[in-house]
Amino acid sequence: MSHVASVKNVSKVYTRGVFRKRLIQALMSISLEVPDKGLISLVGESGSGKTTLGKILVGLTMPTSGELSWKGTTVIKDGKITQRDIYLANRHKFVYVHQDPYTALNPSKNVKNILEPVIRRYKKHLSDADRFRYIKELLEEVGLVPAEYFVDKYPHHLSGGMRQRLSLARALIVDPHLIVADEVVSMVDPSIRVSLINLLKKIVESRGTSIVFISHDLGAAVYAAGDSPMYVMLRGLVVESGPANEIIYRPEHPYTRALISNIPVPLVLSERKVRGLDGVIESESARSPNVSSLCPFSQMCPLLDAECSSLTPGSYMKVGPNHYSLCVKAGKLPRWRPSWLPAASG
Amino acid sequence: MSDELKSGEGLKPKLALRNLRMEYLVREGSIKAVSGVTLFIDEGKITAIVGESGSGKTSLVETFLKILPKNARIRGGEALLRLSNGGEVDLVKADERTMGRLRGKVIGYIPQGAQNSLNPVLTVEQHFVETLKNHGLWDQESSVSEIRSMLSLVRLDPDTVLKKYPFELSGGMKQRVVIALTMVLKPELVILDEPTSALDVFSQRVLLNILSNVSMQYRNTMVLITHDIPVVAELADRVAVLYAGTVVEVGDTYEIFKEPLHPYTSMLISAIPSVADIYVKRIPKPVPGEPPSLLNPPPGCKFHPRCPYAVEKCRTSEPPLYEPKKGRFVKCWLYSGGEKL
Repeated sequence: MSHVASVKNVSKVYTRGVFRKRLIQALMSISLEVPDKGLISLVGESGSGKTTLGKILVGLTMPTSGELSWKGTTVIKDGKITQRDIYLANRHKFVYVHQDPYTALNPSKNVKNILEPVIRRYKKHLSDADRFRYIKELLEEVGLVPAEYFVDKYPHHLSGGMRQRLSLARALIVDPHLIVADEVVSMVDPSIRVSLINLLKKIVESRGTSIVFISHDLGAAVYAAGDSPMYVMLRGLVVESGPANEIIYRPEHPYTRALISNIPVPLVLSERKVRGLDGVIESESARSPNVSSLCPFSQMCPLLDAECSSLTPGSYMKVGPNHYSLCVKAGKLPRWRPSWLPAASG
Repeated sequence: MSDELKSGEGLKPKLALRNLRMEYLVREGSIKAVSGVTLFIDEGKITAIVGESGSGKTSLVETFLKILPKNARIRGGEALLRLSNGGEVDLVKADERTMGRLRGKVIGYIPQGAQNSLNPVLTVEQHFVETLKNHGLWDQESSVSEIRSMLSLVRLDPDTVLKKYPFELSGGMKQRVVIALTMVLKPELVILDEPTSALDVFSQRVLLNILSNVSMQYRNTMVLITHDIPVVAELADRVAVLYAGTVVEVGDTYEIFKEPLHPYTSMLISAIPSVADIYVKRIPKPVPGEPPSLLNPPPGCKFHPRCPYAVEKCRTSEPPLYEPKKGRFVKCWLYSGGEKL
């Protein structure tokens, strides 16, 4: 499978403070590929580096080191643009859709005027009548129907979900190779989250556009990816990657396991009872003090021991077809089941 | 404490809202944020009020706490609060002096994002001292130990946390300090608005545990406002589902999740994607359409434009709250055979 975009060993260090002496390591040696005509999910807590990675993929943020390739051509390497002409010619085909649909749209423009300038710029061949027809088609594609009703509406007339659909419509005008959808469902009502994710899946299917779906909500990320790859991030590192359903069913990293166990589940699987924190060490005293490890989960991991100090940022263990884990114990981890799953089933 | 337990069981609710209405006046007309809410909050239980954004969850609470913005108008209804000394107050009619006496000591309210409201130049200890002194509860001998036990209850180490400033604490820790600050006044009714929304998975799990322990230890009545259905499923005893400013269904949590009666409740529960899906082979189904505008809400049942069971009656007249089973209320014509409230 060819890749629409890929990064190899990218790191990002932000400098802070008056003298730029404070360094913040946002990403540490990350490699991943976005397949052509495919959807991948990035999931992680806030501060895990998923937005930085998304911005690097579309060329909005310059990585400190490592390579970014678009369609097989290396465009950025070690903080420099290597192929300026290719980079500039393709930049607009890699788009970024922002988290907050309330600030991403100009409040003083109606739907038609939000879309039209972009169409004039990137679809120069369209006549006035064609352009209007194109706006209609776009709105219908993203589910803003009837399109005639929406063309003269202003953003404040639209709900969060509708605004997000409009943001997507605007992103589609350039016929993008890749859309990075950063937390597009987090500010949308729960009852319409699934329909928005379905829209993203439809775009991948009908247009062949690749999508990187970024979310902090594991449930949404798994639903979006399904059998496609998901990357679980923690403190600037990908700790586990593989087909999303497989990761949830057979997690091979203590962090992923703890995440799955501790997320509240809405189903009545057993009599309701608030469970305690599972698979995580909370108190300082219970931690193994003598082990220093690069593992981003070492501070809270109940399985930490001397073996963990051998970990390096690139040392992934293969635990299944396309399924990798950054844990040195992956494959030898104890048997596990989510703590909310009743013993009878599964 | 045991006396309170006995009197709380099966008797009058701690807070009874009847047909409460509130509107916001805006240039375009009026936003009917709370339109006829009838809801009983049982004593000693955790009641969750769930709804999507704009369903009026926070507006409802601000209405009976009377902390509304200037353009809000209460249009009727009553909110009867039963006090531990046996008295009753209608919060809607109560004047500002009465409300001032009730807020904090009787009703504790933790608004959304309260962790950011800690004073950056005061230590955690000073926050506690100030709070207790302002409510006239400061006692040289007992207060300090009370503060320390309260901090332990929310799983913070009093020795380290008391001397710290807010910026030295993580978001989850600040959240717990705020909960301890509210609980130290021993309110009879605690209202928490979206307590889990800004927290990561592990801090959220710790907080759920703490809230469950606090409610077990103090037996106070808790109201949890949230859009996070899974959190409700774990923590709450009772659930009230809000849609477009009205309560559409109320019942015990287990029952509601096992067998939701209102079409909206069942569609909302099945719309949430979850990590459990793959274990139980479930595929989330979206609710069609969008939540209605409260500026011009649809006539009749407010859910009818999105409801697959809607009939002509639903489009013209609003259903009353039916009680098909004891303690279970649903606002839907489908249950018109049941007893009307």
